[in-house]
Amino acid sequence: MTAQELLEVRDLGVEFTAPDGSPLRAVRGVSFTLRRGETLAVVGESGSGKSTTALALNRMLPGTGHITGGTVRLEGRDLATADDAELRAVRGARIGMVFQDPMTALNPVLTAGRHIDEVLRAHGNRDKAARRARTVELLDRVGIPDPHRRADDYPHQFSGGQRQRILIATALAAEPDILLADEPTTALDATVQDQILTLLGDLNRETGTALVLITHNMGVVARACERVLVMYGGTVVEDGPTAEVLTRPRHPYTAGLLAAVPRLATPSGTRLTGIPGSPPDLTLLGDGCAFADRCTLVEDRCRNATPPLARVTGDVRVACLPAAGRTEPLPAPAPPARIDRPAPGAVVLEADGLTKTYGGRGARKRGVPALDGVSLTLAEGETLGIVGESGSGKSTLARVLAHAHTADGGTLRLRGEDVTRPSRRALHAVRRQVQMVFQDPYASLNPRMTVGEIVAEPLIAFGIGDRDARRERVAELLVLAGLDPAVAGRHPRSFSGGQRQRIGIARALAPAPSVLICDEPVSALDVSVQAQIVGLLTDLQRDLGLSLVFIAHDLAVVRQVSHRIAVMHRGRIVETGTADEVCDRPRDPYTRALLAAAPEPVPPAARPERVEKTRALA
Amino acid sequence: MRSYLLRRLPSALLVLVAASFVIFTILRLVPGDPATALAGPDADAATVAAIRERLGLDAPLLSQYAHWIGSLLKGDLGPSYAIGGQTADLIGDGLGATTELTVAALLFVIVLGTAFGVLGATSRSRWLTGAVRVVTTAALAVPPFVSGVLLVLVFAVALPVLPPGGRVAFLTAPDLAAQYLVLPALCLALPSAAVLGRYLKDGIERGLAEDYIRTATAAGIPPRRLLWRHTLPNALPPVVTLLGMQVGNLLGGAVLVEAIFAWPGLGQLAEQGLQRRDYPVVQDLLLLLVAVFVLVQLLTDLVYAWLDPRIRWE
Repeated sequence: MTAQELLEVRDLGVEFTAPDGSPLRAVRGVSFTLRRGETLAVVGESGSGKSTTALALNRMLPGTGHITGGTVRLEGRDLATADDAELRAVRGARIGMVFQDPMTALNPVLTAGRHIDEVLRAHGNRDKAARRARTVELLDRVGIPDPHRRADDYPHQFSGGQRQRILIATALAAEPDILLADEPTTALDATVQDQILTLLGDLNRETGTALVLITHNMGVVARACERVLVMYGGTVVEDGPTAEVLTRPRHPYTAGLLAAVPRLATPSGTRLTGIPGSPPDLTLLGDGCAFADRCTLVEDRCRNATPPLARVTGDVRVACLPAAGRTEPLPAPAPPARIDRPAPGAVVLEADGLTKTYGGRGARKRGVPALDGVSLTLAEGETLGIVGESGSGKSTLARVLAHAHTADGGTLRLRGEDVTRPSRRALHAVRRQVQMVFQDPYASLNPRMTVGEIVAEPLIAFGIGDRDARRERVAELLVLAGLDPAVAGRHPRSFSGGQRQRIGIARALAPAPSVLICDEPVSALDVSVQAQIVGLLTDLQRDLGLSLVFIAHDLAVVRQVSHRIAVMHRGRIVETGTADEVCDRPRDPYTRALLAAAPEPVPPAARPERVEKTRALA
Repeated sequence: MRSYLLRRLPSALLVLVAASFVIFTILRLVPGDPATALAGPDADAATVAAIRERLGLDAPLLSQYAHWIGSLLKGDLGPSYAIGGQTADLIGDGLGATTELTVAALLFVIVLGTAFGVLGATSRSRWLTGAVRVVTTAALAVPPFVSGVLLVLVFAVALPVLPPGGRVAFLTAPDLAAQYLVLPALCLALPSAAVLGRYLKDGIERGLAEDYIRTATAAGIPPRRLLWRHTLPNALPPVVTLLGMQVGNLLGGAVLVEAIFAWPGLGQLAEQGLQRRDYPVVQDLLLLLVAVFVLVQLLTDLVYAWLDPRIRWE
């Protein structure tokens, strides 16, 4: 080990115990080194073991998780066998951590300053005045304005981005050598994400703190880290300089993942590229490459032996048996297919000047306008994309369009008929016509109901068919959503995220609606899976002539699936046009800021200089 | 804070008015009246009627009610019917003793409840967490008239370290008074302490699983500080609400416990008053208890807001 090497992980293994007592091997034989001041991204999808690896480094594994083997050497000292006192001295002082959700990661009863003060105190700073001075200095450094005063504010008085800044200040308070950030920007809007990544980069350069960034987002990797570790099924499949891995991936999974990331430049009407199949079940993994079942280049030997992570060229290591002998670059992914669908027809849904204000609470009741005069049209067979950041009013719009909320003002017409404030009977008819698909496939399905009951529920509510007819219709709907009709008797918990979203779609389709409102339908899904769901929605549109409202924050996805895009900001539609027009020639400065902030999985060297920065937002 | 209190005032007053009405009505629904009780079993109808007239019990109910509230507002509680002496003096005497008992019990509730909660949630010893579970279950299941007798048997009879009953005023001889206070206060406190402990245990367990505790652990905050400074303050607000409601239980339970330990408090006064249908004493006493309870609820809300910075008195 040279002096440069700060952290050396060798053959790390982590196991959880599943509720039925069987072992779940979350991390298997992970090895990597981290040099002083380096920026390393660990990228992978859910279940890849990236977060578990990060938590294992300073032994923060939750629940039944435990290290089964290997070493984690921090300048020679093995943390995998260190005692509690040693670990406490390492946590915060040598390895600082930042977690995903800034809304829950700060203690609601402690002030921003107290968070930092506690860390300084825990690591031996006994001088109260000195601690206060350092706290203010840190808050100032991470970009909290007026830090003297704001140090005494509580977490709920800060925005999401500011909270993440406070967490970063807390993690850096005791001047650690390593900053371990687990999806630090996933819960944030793109423009705020951009600011936080800039801050992390600046801090790395100024303080020499090595950065380990855990993420699922290839764009974030390209934006923030020199080196990248790609994980799949609990193992490292590829490790190398970001510029190299992103432009010349050696592992078929890396290549597939990169191809699955929607690019802003891809024109409207293009199918998303995915990886067939779903991530492996960690309780069932045996010998062989974890990716073998989804790999298009699989060979027999891939299934028999676990491929070692071997150097192929320069700094690049790959865990793929065929890759070692491969001199040609991986075959380019199939050119993106066009979505075959007929041109949109007559207008189905028409909104004119919709307003909605949520009542404020407390003595000074002041409402927050969530919708401030929103007008739009939706044609038969058309997909209207709606983009905007959190708080822009897009989810309120979805609920008003689907009649989950009633608009305060304006009119809403369905096939020319005014349905703004429908009678009880008319509402029933409207709801049958307009159905919703929700964002969170875990929370939107009742865990106590079987899949069959969930899908049949709208049928019962609308009084469609008798028992037998309903059972037949449920089977038909499940097939339509790409599921085996035999799953009707199972509960949602035995399904993956993508499969659950299929169940949600089957339920929405049950009353044969003509309009489907999809509120962030793929944002909780992995990139390799989202293509399947988006593809399903577009196929259904073609076959059933559905009109789709597709709400999302990822502009690239929205552009590919939508005919037209409406950009929302503070309850208004600031720009609307055809999908390509809005993305290629944005007129509104807010649209330009959104486009500029979207991270693309292209290394900086290969990227054209950005003209518009997020400052346009300020 | 002042505007918050002003806003809460109307509903607090409404509760008091409603309570006064219910108290007044229920007392008169109880069979027998002060006159028959005073006159004794052998008195003739004329004597009873005379007493009734003297006490004003022959007046219409509504005017009796108005008279009661009117004199209350003037601050004049009037004489007791049957016990003898002024109602205000009777209540004043008992109030000191009962306040002593309930405050001591409240301290026991807080100390024992916190101990139960913290040990139950954080101890790694299965033996200890099991013991806490058994003790809290027993404390909840055993009524005060059983636990009181048991406490007396153990600490006053088997190991005679504490007096079995009676009271010495706390201000005259604190050390002696404390000896008399321990058993009744403990007996009164046990069920509430068990409830509090269970809630606190759940609160701490939930708190320890929060993201912000993971953040603090990752920053190297030592475990003890993690518990007392980071987790407990978050577990407290709901427990404070519960504690406020337990005060009502303590006041109610005092009636029984005072009887067991011969504690000359409001409980004993209430018992006497009820037996002898002494309307003024019982009415004023019950209304006082309601007022105390309403006050404690107000206080609870204030403490809650003080503990949780996200809630402000607006």
